[in-house]
Amino acid sequence: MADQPIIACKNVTKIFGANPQHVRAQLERGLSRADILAQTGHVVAVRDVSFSIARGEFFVVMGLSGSGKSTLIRCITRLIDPTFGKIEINGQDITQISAAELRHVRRHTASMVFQRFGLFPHRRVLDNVAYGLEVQGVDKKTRQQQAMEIVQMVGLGGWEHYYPHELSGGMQQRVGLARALAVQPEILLCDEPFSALDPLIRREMQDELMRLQQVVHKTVMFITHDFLEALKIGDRIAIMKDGEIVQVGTPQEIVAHPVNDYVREFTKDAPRIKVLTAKTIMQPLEGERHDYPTLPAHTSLETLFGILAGTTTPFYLTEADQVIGWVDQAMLMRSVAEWAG
Amino acid sequence: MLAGSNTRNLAFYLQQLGFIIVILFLVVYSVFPLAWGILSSVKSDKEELSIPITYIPQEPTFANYAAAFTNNEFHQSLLNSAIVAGSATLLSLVIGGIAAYAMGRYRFGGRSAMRYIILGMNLFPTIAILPSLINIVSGFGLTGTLWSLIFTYPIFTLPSITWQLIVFFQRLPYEIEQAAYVDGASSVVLFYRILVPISLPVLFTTGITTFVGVWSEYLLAVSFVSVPKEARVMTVAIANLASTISAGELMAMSVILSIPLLLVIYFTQREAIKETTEGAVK
Repeated sequence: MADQPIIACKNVTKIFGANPQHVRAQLERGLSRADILAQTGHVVAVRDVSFSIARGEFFVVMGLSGSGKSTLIRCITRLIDPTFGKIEINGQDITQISAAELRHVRRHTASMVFQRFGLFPHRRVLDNVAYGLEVQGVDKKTRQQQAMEIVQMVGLGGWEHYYPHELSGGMQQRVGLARALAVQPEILLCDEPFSALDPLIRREMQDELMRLQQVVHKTVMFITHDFLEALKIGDRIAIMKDGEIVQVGTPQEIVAHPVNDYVREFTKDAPRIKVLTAKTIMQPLEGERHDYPTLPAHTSLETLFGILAGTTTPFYLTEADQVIGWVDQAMLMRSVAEWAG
Repeated sequence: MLAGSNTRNLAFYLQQLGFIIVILFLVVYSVFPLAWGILSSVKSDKEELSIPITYIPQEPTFANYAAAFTNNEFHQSLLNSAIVAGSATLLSLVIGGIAAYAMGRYRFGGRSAMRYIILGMNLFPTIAILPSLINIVSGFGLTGTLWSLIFTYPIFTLPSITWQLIVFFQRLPYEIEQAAYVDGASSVVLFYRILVPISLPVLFTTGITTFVGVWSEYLLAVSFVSVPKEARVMTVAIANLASTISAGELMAMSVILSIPLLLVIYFTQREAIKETTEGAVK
């Protein structure tokens, strides 16, 4: 079962309004979101969304406000019940399970970090972090001990007896992160966790999350409206617009091959030399093989610049021990010139 | 240069002086009745009636307090007031809290109409519904019992309590509830572990203001519990005692029953300030 996705959404749709079931016909006729709202007064927040997330993957859902991304992430733990579709967590369709089973999944499988932190104002940092364990019925001594370890891990040692309002925004979100991690969930759901933070703190928290991920190896579903954030931290990115997923792919795929103008617009500001790899600009092999040196195909362009700066010698690119193409200085220059033009 | 700044200084001091005079007038105007009461309560009967009047008691005495504390009717009425104000406040908080949670948190048909009716009730003068209330209370056979007040006060306290709590619950971030649910809390756990503790400060402040209002209410009290004597709350009791006891003793009683209010004001100010600075979550 190792390659079974940990989360699989199949045709998930969420409609807000008085009688969501009745909008099905309009959906099937392919009416637009605006038309459905005008005709029926129902809001199609998420529309026919399917994707799956592999165990240990860092999956980012990127979209502007109103794109349905927050609704989508709330469907994963049924904070919002999807109107149609299936959501499988470890192969179990959670839209069909009982309230008790759902609580079990929530307690042991997934936890969530919120944009406005969602901390309990009447509890100290340690008791906020220990909350999930408390709900599980873990005894006080054990849960405080475990919570303390997590508090240390997120760099808040010494702050455990403060109240949330006594902490800065960045620190509050560290508490949010610690609370989510304390129950040792398989899945970490993050709903724009850094959007409320100042740019500098945001970058610091992104780095912190990536560092933590190296330690804890969770499956992360991360919501953001910031395309650059998505590129920086995501293994794969799903771009949403008007409740639908427009494109899913690795940062390289999306920057190199945006499916439409909407996505292309975002990629304009992307730091291509950081995101793109040698593979995206290489030429396929033709003719005879030379004795050129080799590089891994996933070498970033940033690194490639350093290597090619001092030499006009071409390099072969390898992937899984196979030479798949080649690059040289001129090719790199031409690519940069194309983006600029 | 020097002269200029002197002129400015003079104007500044005149302004300050005017300001101080206004403030002093306001303080004296509002504090005098209370001060007069406190001062009179420690005067002897003789001094109380002496002419010319004395502002500062010449021979302070606590005889009036001793008399007040040994007056059984006063005791009974204090106890009655505490029972009535406590029960009516608690009842209002429980009902108002639950109603406010529903109206602040959930969308349902007629919600905003309901909210404005509640707000409107707030503006209704008590006297307007007094006759019908008297009918209802006597119809239930409650006239002359503390129940009559315990059940009628919430009619007037509920709207403002509910309205204040609606505002509180509306401002409470949904993420707090979602955070509670997402780690697997049931709604019972959510209620007792999260919602009640978070609401305690605001329940406390609204409860206190309600208590103060009910504690010093007179119109309904005099309508429902004037007879028998044993059912009188202190506002009614004091009004009745006025003709039979000395002015000094009456003042002593008034001071005694203001003490809970003064304590309350002291504590609510601190709580209210804390509440506004903390917020639930920024």
